[in-house]
Amino acid sequence: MSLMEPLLAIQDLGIHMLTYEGRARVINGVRLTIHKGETVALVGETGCGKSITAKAILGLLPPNAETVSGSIMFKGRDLLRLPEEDLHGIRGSQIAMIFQDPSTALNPVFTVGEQLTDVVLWQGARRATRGRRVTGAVRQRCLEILRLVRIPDPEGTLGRYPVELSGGMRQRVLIALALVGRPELLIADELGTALDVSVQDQILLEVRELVRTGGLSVLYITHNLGVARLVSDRIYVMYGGEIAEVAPAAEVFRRQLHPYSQGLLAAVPRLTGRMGEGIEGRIPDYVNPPPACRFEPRCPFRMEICSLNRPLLLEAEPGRWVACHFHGSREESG
Amino acid sequence: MGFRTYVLRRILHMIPVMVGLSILIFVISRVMPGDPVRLALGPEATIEQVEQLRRQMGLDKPLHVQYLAYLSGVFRGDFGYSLLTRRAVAKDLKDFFPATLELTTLAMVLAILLGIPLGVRAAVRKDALEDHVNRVVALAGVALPRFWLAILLQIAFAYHLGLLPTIGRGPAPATQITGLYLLDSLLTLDLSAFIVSLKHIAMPAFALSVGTLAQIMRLIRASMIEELRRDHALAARSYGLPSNLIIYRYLLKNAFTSTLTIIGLSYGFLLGNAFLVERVFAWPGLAFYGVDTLLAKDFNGVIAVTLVVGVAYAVINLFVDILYGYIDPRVRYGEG
Repeated sequence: MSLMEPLLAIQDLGIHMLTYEGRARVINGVRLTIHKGETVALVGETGCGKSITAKAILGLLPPNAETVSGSIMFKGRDLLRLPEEDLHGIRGSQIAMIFQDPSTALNPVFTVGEQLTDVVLWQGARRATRGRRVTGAVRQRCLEILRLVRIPDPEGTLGRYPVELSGGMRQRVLIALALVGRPELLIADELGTALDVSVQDQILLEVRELVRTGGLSVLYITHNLGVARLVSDRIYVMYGGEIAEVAPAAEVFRRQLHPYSQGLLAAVPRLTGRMGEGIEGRIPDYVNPPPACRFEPRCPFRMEICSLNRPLLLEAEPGRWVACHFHGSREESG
Repeated sequence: MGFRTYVLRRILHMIPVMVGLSILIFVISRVMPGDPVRLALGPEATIEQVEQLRRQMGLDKPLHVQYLAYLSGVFRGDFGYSLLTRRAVAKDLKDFFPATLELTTLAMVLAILLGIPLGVRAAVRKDALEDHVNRVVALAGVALPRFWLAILLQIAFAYHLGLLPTIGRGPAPATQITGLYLLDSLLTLDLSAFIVSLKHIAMPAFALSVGTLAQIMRLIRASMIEELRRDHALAARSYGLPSNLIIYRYLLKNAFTSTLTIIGLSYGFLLGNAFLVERVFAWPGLAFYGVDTLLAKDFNGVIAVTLVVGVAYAVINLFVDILYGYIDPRVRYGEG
């Protein structure tokens, strides 16, 4: 599989945000690949740049964001250099995103049916014959997609406003909206995080099932390593706008190479009843980030070199990559 | 709660408001300083004459009896007799109210039809040249006194260009149905009368609408900028929907709900401001008439005008509330 060209390849992505405090270097040389049919998780604390990375893929960055370096190759085209009209053709139909918060990602003043119908119409209009635009067919497609995400009473749901639905149902509607265009790559931003744990697990398992049967590639974005392990093949651990560690999902749990991953795993609450331990310190200041390794100020194993040279993301073992001076002598100056 | 229940509830809410309004206006009019009967009869009248007219008008009875008598009259369409125009107030209202209603409504329509698209464009092109021009014009629109703008318009369009008539409402259309000249001429398909009326109303309506137009424009811009940042706006883009559909269908409906309340309130503002514009354009309207009755301490005229304006205002706001509930389902559920 690794010999094949990846479906999505992010190289050296750098994004700055222009804020009142100054230029925040929020994404600093991120590298990430997703192969066809693969599910990848991007894991990190809130504010580490996961969502920005996801939005950069779809070209949905806020106006104050500036892409300073890198490329996002998707099926041979660099999404960062694609004109808006072409990106528009990719959104929804090739890459789709399930938004984080079901209570804000649905338009409150339109019914589920109205929102779904427009997406069905637009996605349908672009790819197929005019025959699909017949109202009955559109309605059938809406119902079909609602059934796919296991919404009970799809007919009734079409006429309801988001405010009339439970959090779980809203989340399902969001998934339906993302799936309408039959995308090849699905980005799931904190899927289910806003929901009760029991509903969250159910949704995660259902989406995993949908992904497997549909042969989709998925990028899960989550702060929860447990979720990442449940749903993904490979895990990217992100810290302070950089990739700290890359490894197959199960491997990360067996042994973590990066000190941050160790801290992240220790922070997951166990069923034994012990609360997880937190990582000391806060996420870095992006306007004046630590000069070399961004994790250095919080790292229990910091060495002299850590505040001098930035560690590169290097292959420490076959299939496992880590950006830490602890694992390898090669480094980049400055 | 269903939509029908919501509407019914809103209509029922109006009843106490109306009763309260009528009591308030009635009491205020009675405690106004000055003796209207004396004023009407002039300094030469004898005490007996004054007393006689007072009895005739029922002013010697206790206040609550006067109020009930007045109210029962109102339900029969009898607003009493005007000491200013020396005829039935109901007849005055019938003449003057449609003129003001037509003027303020057209001003409101203008403000909405121009204000919303301009506001949306300013939001979409935030901080671009168009936005800055828009901001300056809006500020000027709010700051300029209505009457001054009215005079400027007269000088430009009536005096120099000679395109529009300077003052007045123009001749009434041959058939009068509602008293609204534009509507009547349309209903009778009298196109030339419609154009004449339109020429007369164009300047006053525009002068009156500018402040509200600027307000709506700024409000729509502000709420649109907020909507553009929302998750659901971003989500809609991620589904591949075209940006015009997102802006003018999805986001405008959200942005409009917050503006709608202001539109209702602005209507009262327009009725008040109409006086200045009606003066400059010699528009035979209710605001014009209202001020005259007030200066003449013409009780019946003052009460009737205030009541009509109050009812118009309440009805408009009822309409706005209903529309609000229709557009935004959260309003209906928040109540239930």
